[in-house]
Amino acid sequence: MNLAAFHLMPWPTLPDGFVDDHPSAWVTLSNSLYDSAVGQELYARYLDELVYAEELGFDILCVNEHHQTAYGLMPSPNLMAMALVQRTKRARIAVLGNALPLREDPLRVVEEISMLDVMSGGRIICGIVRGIGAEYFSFSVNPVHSEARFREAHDLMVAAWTRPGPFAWDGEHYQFRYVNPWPRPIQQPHPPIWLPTQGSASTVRWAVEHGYPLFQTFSPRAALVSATEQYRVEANRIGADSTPGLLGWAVPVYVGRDDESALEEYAPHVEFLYHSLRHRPFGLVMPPGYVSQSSFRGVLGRRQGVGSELPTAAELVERGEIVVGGPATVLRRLRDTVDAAGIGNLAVMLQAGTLPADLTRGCMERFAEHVLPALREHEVMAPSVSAGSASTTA
Amino acid sequence: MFEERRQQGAGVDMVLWQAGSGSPILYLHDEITVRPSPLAAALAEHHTVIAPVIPGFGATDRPDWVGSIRDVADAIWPALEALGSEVHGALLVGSSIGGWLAAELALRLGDSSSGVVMLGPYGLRVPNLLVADRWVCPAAEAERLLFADPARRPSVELDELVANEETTARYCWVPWFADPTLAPRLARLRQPTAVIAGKEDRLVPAQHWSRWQEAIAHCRVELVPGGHFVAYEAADEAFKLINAFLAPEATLSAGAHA
Repeated sequence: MNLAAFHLMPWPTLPDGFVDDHPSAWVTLSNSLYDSAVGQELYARYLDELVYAEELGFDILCVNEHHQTAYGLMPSPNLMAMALVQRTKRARIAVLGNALPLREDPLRVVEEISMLDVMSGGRIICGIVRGIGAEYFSFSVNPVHSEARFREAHDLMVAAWTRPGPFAWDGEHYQFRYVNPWPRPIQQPHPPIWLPTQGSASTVRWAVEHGYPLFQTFSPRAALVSATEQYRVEANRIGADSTPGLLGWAVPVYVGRDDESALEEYAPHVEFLYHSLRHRPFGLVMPPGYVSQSSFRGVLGRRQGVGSELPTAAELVERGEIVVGGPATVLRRLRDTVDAAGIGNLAVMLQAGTLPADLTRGCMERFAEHVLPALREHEVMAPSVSAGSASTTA
Repeated sequence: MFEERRQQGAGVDMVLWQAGSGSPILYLHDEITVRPSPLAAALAEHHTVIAPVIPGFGATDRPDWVGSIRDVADAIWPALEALGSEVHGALLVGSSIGGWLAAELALRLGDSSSGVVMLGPYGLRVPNLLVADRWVCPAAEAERLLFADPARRPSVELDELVANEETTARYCWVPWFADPTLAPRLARLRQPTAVIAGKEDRLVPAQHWSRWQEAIAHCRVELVPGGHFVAYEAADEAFKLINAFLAPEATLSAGAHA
């Protein structure tokens, strides 16, 4: 299977009592808390960690996109990808942005991805996303148009890479008198398109219809298994492919010396991610119109049973949302999950929250030595699609 | 006492609530609910109240091309015109987003409307004084923005709540609760006009009310107790002001001008 190193590049310091005193780590968290001297060190360190991942044998390096938040410091994933292009030779670079609907001109994304692909010698994977709810506040893009803009921007992007230019694009959300991007990518007709997602049913269906790999990010094991199952059911229904190479999973992983010390070492750092960096009111996650009215009603209904308490690291391990332990435990758990979900692309996030540089390095080295080789040789078989599961989604 | 009816016009099948008898009032609901407010009910005791459901709100359909309050006015205007003498000389009363729509409809109705009363309307661009954001904040804070007395919020079914929130976002997210072209277009409004606003309105900055006065000749501003949604929080006061507004010999009290 393919092994990828994923990084969020988080901001690691927030005021004491942050969760109680601040409504959100997104959009309204004042940027007066950002210190650019610290920021310079963080970019250097985080970039070094991704470069080191190539040295350690990872196949793919993943950057991503978030805005106006301490959660992740890569508002422009393409800039970070370009920095990696300059410092790496072999690994593929997966840009798990770009948030197409947030852009007024998706053609700019086409140009930047093409430049990256040419300058990297064809090493780019082009992730496309809708952007999370909070980002519709940050960009003043109407969330009711999110899905339609995403689909049209995608169609425009593919057309720009597959139809000889110049041509005119006269769409509902985007109009360009001339579409004729120079340069054109090395990978023809275009770099592979991946879909990072939280696994909404409509996104999974759309991915299957286009034959795009689905990349499930940061979700409990049960949600991962159910989204990948849906992918296979949909693929089965229309006679499309659903091999493990079309499915991926991004997950925080910590490899310690042994199970006990691993959890103890890791817990405060990953809890900072889940308690503080993901802290935000419901309206920021799900602005009106971001999902269909029926999905929104479902989310509101489910929400009523959910308590407000924050999961501990041990609970996150329990529900398979993070994988923590000594090398043997981590290998076993990852293998179990990729087998259960039929996943051929595994993106591990080996730095999380406030995890400092020395612990991150130690974790990366143990992963590379004890876990990565066995997983690379591991052949994932696609679980069979049962008749029962097919009928439940019909 | 309100009964539902329908009126078609230019391909739009409009749902209307109607009650009462007497001189006509076209009542335009707010984003809280399409069901008649306490104010609409009070008005129906002395007037014929015709209350169209704004397309997209409640369970109504919205023509694909309708994406703004200005579009809404263009879309429902033919159906309103088709009501003919039923609405001739009607007073336009609109609550919140419905107040904004009342201004747009007044521009189209001209002399066939007798006046416009807007309760805490959105729609004017006042630089650097934006309508507060009810979605960015935690639920308790949002409630504080919307209602000075949350007990006055009417209960609304989940289906309607979700539709109303989405439709509000659709018409108001960009530009943020405003139409930059509205103020210059309002200059030609000749009907008597009033803005009634809650003294404790935390959603719309009070400077918006004076901006309405600048934009429309003869626009009065009356302040009443309570928060943004006057139709629920100060229905009695608004009812009295509207009746005074309708009586030709009476004038609105001058003392409450903002």
